Amino acid sequence: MTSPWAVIIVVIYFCILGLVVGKWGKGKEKGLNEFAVAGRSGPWWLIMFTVLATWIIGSTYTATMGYAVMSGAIGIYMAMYSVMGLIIFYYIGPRIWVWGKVHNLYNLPDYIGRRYGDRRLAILVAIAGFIIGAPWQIMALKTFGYTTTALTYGALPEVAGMAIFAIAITAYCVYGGMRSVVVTDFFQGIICVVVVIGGIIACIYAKFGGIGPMFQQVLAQRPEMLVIEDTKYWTSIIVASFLGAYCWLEIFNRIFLAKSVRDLKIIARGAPILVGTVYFLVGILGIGGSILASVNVDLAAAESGLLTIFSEVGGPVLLAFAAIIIIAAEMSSIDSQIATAGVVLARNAVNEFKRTKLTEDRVVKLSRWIIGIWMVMVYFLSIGELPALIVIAIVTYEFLATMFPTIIIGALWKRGTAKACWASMAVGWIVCGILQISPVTQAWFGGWGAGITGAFFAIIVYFAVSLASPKDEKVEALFAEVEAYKEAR
Amino acid sequence: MGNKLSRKSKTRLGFAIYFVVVIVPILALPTLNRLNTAEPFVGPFPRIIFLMLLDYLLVCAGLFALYEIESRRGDLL
Repeated sequence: MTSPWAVIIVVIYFCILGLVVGKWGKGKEKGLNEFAVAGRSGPWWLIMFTVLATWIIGSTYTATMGYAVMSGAIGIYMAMYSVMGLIIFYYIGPRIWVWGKVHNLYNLPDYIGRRYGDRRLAILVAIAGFIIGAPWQIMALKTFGYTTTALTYGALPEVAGMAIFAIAITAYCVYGGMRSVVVTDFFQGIICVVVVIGGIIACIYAKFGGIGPMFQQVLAQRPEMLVIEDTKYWTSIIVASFLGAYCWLEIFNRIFLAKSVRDLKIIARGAPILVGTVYFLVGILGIGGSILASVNVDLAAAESGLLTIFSEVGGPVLLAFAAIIIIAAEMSSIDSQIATAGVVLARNAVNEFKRTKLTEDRVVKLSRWIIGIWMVMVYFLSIGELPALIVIAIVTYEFLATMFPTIIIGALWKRGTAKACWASMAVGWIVCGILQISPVTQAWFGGWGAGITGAFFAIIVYFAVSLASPKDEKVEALFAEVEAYKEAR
Repeated sequence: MGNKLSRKSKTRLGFAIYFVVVIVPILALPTLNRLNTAEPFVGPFPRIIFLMLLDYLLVCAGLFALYEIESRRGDLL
């Protein structure tokens, strides 16, 4: 039985979103500062939701939900690691924001170049960050196709759904750059938080009679869902994810958007509450879903669990809102990635290889072209069959964790040197690569995963090489700027 | 003897220690394996899920307290 109401509600929602972006999605100023970091002018309440958007992505409501349905309590790991990741934000955010303000930094490679004074290292980080992010953008576009088809009961094919959202996202990213991304994330973030919290609690009460009764029913039918099945994997996945949390281009870029250090810290203080709440609710609904016949049949049904439960409880109206939160979360994730990647490739890759450096206006123009061209490429990659995509995505995640010392420790410890970065990344990537190619070798390291083991060696090498290198006066001066900035305020 | 820690550094170090103390029970395998049971329930929650929730709330509360202290002292940077 189909109903047009779900589609009508979604279309109305996106029409309103279009009006909001058209009205507030473009700043008055022009130039790279506006395009790349929205003029560094965002108050905490605005930037909070763009920070949330980089954490709560579309797969939160599909893959994480499915994981909780199939594996139980371990599916709540995202709540723990996101809270831990935002502590990194609290610690490194202010000083990186100050360096950004003083030296006109717009992204992660900019920061690496300034911190270590090594242009090649910055180019490597730019290209690595771009490659690591690419599989996630392809998966995001696939999610749009899959959700559109589900919402229209198959009337609209997946390729059409992917095309519609690819065009819409490219349009607003090119139109307003990071400001349109921030405005979109703010609007969608509020809707998502309200719908997720209200909707999931309503579903738990409607389906099971409350949280307590739900867990009692799970205990009676599937008691193994209420414990962590593999505790070593639980620890490994949380620590590896935590180490890589602020090594993503688009997540790091959020640091530069706030208008002051105080705003940044208010975000770091408040965001964990909302992120953790959403992940907890999705996780426990997934655990409840493990005893629902309509959800627990296979992985595909488990990953559609949120749509199924919302639809069973609230009919087409709640189904429409479930579809909106999945699409909105995925939009808010891919727009940040595409907008950041466009600027990074234009400014930190193409521009670095040119003899005559581009002006800032030319960088903005080039970023717009890259966003458009890259989205077309992502679209064509998305419509093809890529069965190993999720494997590639997870592997890239493991490699990211090994960049922790270069990006995070370097922000807090002034002795860290460029040589240490090269050495630690080389060792970390080699160890991670060997463990990925030959998983049996993981037994040599007590059975810990590739990411966490690679990061462990990378950290040791980073400290060892840094301590063996001479102190760098320029870095001393850079760290002194943070204190001086405070005095000048 | 080396440099004395500033008041700001002491506060942040204090939070880091608090964070480790709070988070370790559900990350370190010896304690995690001991606590990893559904029963006894604590309120409506199975024990291990309650501990996750408690940890998450304690970390959030700690961050709030850290912010308040730093904000009051003018140590936000």
